[in-house]
Amino acid sequence: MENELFKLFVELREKDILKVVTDMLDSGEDPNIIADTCKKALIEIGQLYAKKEYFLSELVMSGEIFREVMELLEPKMHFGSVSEEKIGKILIGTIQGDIHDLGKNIVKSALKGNDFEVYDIGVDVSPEMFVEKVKEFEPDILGMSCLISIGWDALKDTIDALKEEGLRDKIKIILGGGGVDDEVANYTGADAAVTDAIEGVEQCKRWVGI
Amino acid sequence: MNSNTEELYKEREERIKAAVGLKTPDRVPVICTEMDFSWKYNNISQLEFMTDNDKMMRAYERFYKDFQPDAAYSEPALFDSLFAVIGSPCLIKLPGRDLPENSVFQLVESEIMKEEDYKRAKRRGYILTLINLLPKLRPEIPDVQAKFNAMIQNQIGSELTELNRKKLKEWGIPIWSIGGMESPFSVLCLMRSYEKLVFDIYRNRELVKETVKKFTQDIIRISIGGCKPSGILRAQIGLHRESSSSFSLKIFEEIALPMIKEIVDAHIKEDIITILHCDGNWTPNLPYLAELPKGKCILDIDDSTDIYQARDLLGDRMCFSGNVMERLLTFGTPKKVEDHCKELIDVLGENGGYVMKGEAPAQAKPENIKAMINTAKTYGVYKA
Repeated sequence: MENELFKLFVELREKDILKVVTDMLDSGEDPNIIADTCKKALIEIGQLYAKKEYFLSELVMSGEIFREVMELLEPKMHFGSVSEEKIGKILIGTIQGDIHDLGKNIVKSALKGNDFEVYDIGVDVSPEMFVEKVKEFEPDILGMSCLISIGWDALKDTIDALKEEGLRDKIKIILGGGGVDDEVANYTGADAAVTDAIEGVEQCKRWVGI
Repeated sequence: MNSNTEELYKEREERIKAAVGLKTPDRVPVICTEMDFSWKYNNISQLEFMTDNDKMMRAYERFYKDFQPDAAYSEPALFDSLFAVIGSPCLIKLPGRDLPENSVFQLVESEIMKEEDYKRAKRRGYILTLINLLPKLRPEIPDVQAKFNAMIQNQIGSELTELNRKKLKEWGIPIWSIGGMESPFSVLCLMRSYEKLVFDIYRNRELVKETVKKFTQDIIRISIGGCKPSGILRAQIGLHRESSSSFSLKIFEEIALPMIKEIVDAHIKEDIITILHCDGNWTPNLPYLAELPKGKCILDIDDSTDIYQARDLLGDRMCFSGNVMERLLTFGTPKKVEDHCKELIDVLGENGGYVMKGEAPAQAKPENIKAMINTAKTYGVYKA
């Protein structure tokens, strides 16, 4: 059943997956084993994405199916039975003046799937709010999303504000979104810039030593 | 129009037509998106530029006078959020209302169209679906459906646009494209939101396909209706969600490609060239585009798409435009811009078939825009 579930999940056959999961639960299968199988399938899907055999649409659909599976599993799971160990803390938000959140939300799901603790502070976030939340949450990494060119100065202002507060050197800063590249990272003083969700997750994993 | 600017207009239009028709013009034509840059260059706010026709036209005039591109990227028109909903059926954040006065307007993709609206949309097409959703799309406008109907029936605003178009001609500036529309797939994505459209495709692919097919008929009518009366027979179709950056090749092949073919064929019947405005990474999608008729499309790409593969796969079939991007024009130096533009000319414009296009944001450095235009005008000269 586990092998079948893994295969169905990688093929994103939503209805079949949900049926198999229900059957497995009915026959007394441990929900943690089912969750682990689905997580392995998610990793395989991430690898297919990296090989350009799968695309963003498949990543998004796999996230949705995983959410539906967890909805079935969670009532039957014992509290604390799933690994709670997190590999790092990330604060993410979309920069002031920019209200796009699609990319940020995809990155958030991918980070959570890779065992990061993620604190999302939304869109159109001012430099002052980023500073306040960095103080409050004490993340290892700050991720800022920016799709439009007017966000470049807001990125720089935010990083400058973090410097003024003596917080800049305590965290790694990654920029994400269609509006950033290495030039923007240099201009704003960030550590990295990526346009691909999985690439961003891999960079964050390297920073926390994974 | 004096004889000098009349001559200049003719010369520029012929240069563009030669490049688009895969012939070799005297040199590479060059254009630049002026709407995000020229207001700041002329020291007015984005809000003034969007709402005051005189100020907008003065900003455009100075831009064309100082930079001398071969065409205006689009026709000068004041911003009207009700008109804009036709091409961008989603919520909108505006400078001066929701955003600072110098911010660009932003589209907010959300689930305006619900899953249960599909059956009606598939039957009634794009415009009637749009009218039905207008109270949700533009909640700030009272009696929005009546106002929208009056606008499309009486062509409100078109007189001013016509005057602006004439002014451009007097300045010797042709227009690159008229009446740009989003593709049927992209408008559906804006109305449903990206995530929901992904789920729809996986859960009910046939329904999505049929809806896109039905929407295509309306989009073709809007595109031809916006373009044909002006006599400028280049119509842009925005392909913002079709590339491999958003959807798989299988989805592209099944849903997006048939729609693109249908639009291109309908445009051909009206002698209209289709500008395929390709956002995102189109490199894996390029082989499919070889199925489009030769010399009838312009492939407008950004720096996510591999220019070498574009040339190898499509160089003998369609004209290219684009690829001098915002970040280079802002953070680059004139030398870097020149080097990049030379590479573009060498790769994409070897024997014609390339229109250099810059995307200039408000913060772009004027000297970088000049470097781009000068490179096209000097290095881009074709030897007889």
